[in-house]
Amino acid sequence: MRLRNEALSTGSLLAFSSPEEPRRSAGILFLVEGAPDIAPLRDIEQACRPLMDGRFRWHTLANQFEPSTVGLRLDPTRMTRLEVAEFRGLSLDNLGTLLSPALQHLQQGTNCFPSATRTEGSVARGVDFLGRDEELAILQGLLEQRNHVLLVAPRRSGKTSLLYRLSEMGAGKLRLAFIDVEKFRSPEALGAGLLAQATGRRFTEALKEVRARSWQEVLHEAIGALSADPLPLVLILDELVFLLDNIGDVDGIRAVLTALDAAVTSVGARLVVAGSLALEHFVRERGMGPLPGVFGALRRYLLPPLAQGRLEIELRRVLLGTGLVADQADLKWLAENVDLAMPYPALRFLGHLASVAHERVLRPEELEEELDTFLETTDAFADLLEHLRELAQEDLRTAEAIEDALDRLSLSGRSLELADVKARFDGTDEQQRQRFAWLMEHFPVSLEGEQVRLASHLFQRFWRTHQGAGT
Amino acid sequence: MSTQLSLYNPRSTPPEQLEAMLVGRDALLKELLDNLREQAKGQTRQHWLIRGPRGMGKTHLTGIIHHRVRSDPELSGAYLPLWLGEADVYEVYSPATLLERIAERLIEVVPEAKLAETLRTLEGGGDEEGFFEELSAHIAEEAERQGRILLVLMENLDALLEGFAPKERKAQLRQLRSLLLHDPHFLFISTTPTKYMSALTNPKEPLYNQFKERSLKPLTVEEVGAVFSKLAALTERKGMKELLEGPEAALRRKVIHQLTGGLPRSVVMAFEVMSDRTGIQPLVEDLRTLLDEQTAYFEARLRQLAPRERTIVTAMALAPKNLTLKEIAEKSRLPERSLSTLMSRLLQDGHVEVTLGSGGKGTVYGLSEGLFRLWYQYRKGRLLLEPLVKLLAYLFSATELQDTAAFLKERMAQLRKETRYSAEMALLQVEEALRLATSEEGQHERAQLWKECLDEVEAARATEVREELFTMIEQSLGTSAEADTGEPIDYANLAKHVLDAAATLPEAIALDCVGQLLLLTYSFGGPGHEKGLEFLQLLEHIFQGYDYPVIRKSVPMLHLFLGGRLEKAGEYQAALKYVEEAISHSAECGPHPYSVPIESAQWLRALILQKQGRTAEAIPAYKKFISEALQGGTPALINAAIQALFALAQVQVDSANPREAEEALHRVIELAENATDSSLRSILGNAKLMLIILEVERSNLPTGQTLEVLASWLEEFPEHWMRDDVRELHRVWRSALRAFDKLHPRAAVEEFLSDPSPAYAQLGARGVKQWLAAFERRGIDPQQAETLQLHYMVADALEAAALEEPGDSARLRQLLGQIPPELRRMVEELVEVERKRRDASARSPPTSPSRPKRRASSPRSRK
Repeated sequence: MRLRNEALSTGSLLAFSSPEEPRRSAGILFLVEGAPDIAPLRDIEQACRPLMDGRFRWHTLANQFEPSTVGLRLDPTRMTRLEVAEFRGLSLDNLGTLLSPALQHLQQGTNCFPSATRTEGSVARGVDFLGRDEELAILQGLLEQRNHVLLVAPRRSGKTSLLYRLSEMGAGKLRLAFIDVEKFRSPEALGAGLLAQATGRRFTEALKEVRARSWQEVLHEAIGALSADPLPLVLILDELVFLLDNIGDVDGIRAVLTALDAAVTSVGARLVVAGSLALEHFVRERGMGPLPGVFGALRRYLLPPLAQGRLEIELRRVLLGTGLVADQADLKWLAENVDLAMPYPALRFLGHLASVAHERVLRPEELEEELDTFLETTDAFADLLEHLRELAQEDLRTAEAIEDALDRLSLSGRSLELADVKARFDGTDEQQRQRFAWLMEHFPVSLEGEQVRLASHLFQRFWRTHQGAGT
Repeated sequence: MSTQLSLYNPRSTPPEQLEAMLVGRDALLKELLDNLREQAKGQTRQHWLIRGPRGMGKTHLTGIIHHRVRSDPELSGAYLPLWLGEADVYEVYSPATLLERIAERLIEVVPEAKLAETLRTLEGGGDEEGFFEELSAHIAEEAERQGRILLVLMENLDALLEGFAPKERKAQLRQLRSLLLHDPHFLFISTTPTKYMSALTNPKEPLYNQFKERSLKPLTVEEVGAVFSKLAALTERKGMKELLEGPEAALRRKVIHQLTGGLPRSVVMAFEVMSDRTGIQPLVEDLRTLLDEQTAYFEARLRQLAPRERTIVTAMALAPKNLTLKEIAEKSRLPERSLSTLMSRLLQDGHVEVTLGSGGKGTVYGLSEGLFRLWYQYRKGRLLLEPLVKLLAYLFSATELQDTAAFLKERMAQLRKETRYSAEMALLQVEEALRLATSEEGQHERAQLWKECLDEVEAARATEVREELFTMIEQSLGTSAEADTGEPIDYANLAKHVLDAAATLPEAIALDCVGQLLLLTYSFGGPGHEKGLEFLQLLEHIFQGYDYPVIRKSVPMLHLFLGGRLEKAGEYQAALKYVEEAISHSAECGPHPYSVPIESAQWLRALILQKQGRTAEAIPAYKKFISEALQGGTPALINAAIQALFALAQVQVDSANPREAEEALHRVIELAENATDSSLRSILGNAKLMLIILEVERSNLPTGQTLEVLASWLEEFPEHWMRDDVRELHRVWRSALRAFDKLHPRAAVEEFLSDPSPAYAQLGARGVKQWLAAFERRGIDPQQAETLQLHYMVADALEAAALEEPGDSARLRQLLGQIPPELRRMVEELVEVERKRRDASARSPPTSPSRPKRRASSPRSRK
């Protein structure tokens, strides 16, 4: 595996030009190295044909550094450089699947492919957001059916990215308002923040109003203003538990939840709640009892690992976006060891590979070494393990049974019967069901029919070599 | 210092000089700047954290990023770089105050920014949410006006986060997280000297895994050399060229690397010391300035510690070495039993690290931050700068240090009292270095250091020479050499060059080189190429001109290879002589790196004896080799034993010992059953096939069960080189068995008559006769019976030809006479072929150990 050689001089440029906005002109340059690139380049051209309209045109560049020789006046910074070698061995269908979104992004002037190096710690938006069509449809369905939703997943599973995507989708049936509430440390600030967002006023002005009236009144008014649109309002409260924790005392928390409930209910809005800390756990720890109104009726939606179907092609897109050139042996190794089912650790590892590739070419056996080192030192799975530790403090036997189930799933490397997995847990059927649900919620475990398996190769290997019975 | 260069403070160093001094960071810089280019088009921001101990070059790198972003048209169009001052971080106690520092820096960079006016009128306390919200909104608006993302470069992220008030910390971290995650106007590139920051690694913390992290690595030996070269060019110091390129340059680089640990700042210090040892006074001043500059950071870190934790850390800082818990208890006067909890916390927060052991009794602890010890000792009035003293003591001789001390004393006498202090400090370092250099302990350490470095340098040189020799041998004797190109080879010259060079190398590497020469000479041009033997004979002659241990140890291998080549040339007697010579001296070989084990001489001996027809001697020779090889137990020997076992089975078959052959074959199967190696799998297939054939030979005709076993064989060895033959054999046997099938005798005869060749080839003449005899009792067409009778006569004649003793041809003549004249000529020709095959079989040596032998008149023969 190596880094893309963007210094190759010759290639075919797929240029996009917009007569209305010449500054939006951009291009994808497919760089060629030699004769083996001729056939794949022909395939690329063929795959692009149905995706092109009159604004796209192919140019052959003998020297990419002198595009003017073919009459092109294209800003070199708006040229995405790829090697044709990166597309070798792909069918026309797969080429189309890879290039279709890239051409759309090219028109928008954004990055053409998702990159592992852009999204290790940040919110994944635009092209960097991977998959999740099914989950978005489910969430939207739940909201259209007037549910209030509690989005549940371990940290760094992509909850915030998903909620951004949901709010950007502009479904036409809902008005989605994303509100990051973690920065507020008091009900007053929350009220002011909501008012500022709803009206476009400055925060301090809104805060003055809160102080002049009351935060409950302003909060009510702000949510009312947000729901002025004829479409039903969906209020997305990201990191609600951080806000509640900032507020601190139970009465204050209850007051905020009650006020939010009243406001949301009065305008018929729906609520989506998500965050790094689990709401139920937070409430239980403080002995708060039932939560008021809509907060007591939140419908849990567990964000699963990324669906298997498109993982391979998504991985190819990420490699293209990251600039990593993988040969057939590398791709085979990647397919066996790294998938995007848990995007965060996978992207971090790919980012790490890109970093090493900046220094040297990676041989297949070095990929293996790098993965071992990565798994040894990464804290990407720390949240999962932290939950298991917490469980062990509450219920050691169940935690051991969960570990045992993870051992079996990771060591077998294949699906296990649901009944066999549940049988590892003590207790009644209901208790077994609950424990299995806990396992599904906190670890990348997927259930297909009656078959249970670890959804992520990366986690499987991590558990097998660094956590589980195989150590 | 001879020129006005600021080597220790990248903030006050001109960017051009920073660029000129940059070594070993190109890959990271490229990655980082590429990432900034990508992010410029993105909607969210990926923030960076660069880790590395103090002196590793974090500020230098930050300075370069600052400079490159400003000077690159694409990046400067997308980013407005704001490099926060080191002191800025210590003034920050909340996200809002961090924003305030950013705003101030922005105004410094863009004085006409509207933000300047806004900032003057902005009211609010640093902890107030309103102030944070307003400030972030105003800065974001200014960033929009500038049309650029604010690239905030800041150091000591750990100190910044620790500056947040403990009570407010979580809420403030959440505020900061919100800014990092949701405000695309900011992109932070931070640095930290600490390895641990639980605020970033603990999943319960708001900033868990928010940064893209990279660590700066120490410089390699080569990079240390590159730093020296660059500094020499920059400072225009005289005499450095000799120092860097002289015969001792590699060793000197290694020693400096060892002494500095590859820490760029220490490397620069070493350069200063080496380039002008009498000019260490400015260096001492620089170091004191450096330590003074660390005061804010280290004091801030000390303030974070509880009193007892602080006592531990300071006790460790004053100790001359790393300490055990017991020693820490003694020095800090804290009860040992309370230490483990305190140490756990210090470990967790990254103040302390385990340097030896695993946390139990006897574990040795050290301070994570090396510079802290120096700083603390300096603050406590210990004026000795330990790294500098060591550099002086270990890089210079006692005489040189004495001269330096004398020079400094003389110069001091000329200085005024007020400027004398730093000269006294410099003298103090030199005198301490002299004391260390002349002490027993110092001399021992110095000698050990230089020896270790010398060994490493020599090992590296030897490895380099080996690579060169291997390349030379490969180019001369490898696949692209004369055998293919026809270009003549000056073999004597090549061999002498290798043997001369090997004489200067450590024994293991020398053995490797001579072994490679032997191996490629042996395999030169393939088995039949006469040059290979000629070269080996020449090498034997050349060996006589050398007498060093590696040569003596290589002689048995040379003899083995000579034996191998002569055997291939059919000169069995001469081959045997060399092989027996190799065996008798094999003990002198010792452990060697050859891929061909010397023990295989026994195997070759067995093979030669077999080829000489001395089967009775060959069999025990094979057994001896197999027994020794299996005892040897190395994978190469076991592999060879399996091959020899198969060869033994063939010899046993040739000697009409089918039971012994079967025994050897079963042993092959036992040893190779689970092998994954393709050559062993092939032998396993051969062995299993041979067992089937022996079974058929015993009963003369295959049975239904044989066919099943054969089918299983085909399933087990789908890639085997004999699969096509076995498939054919299976077809013919199946066809032959139909003759005994009461239901389809006619069909079987029709199949035979349509193409009888495979039946002859696979059943042999005797088998065909038996098969034909089976039809005598069966109801078949009279016309078919007549044709079959003809085949019976042909098979009879062929069998007689195969069994015929020389000179006894009466029976064969009689049989030929019975064949109709129109067919006789053709059958006579076939008989002649069979005779030739029989004679060749009697003369020919056994086939290669790895392939099963095909014999005439057996199902393995091919007509």
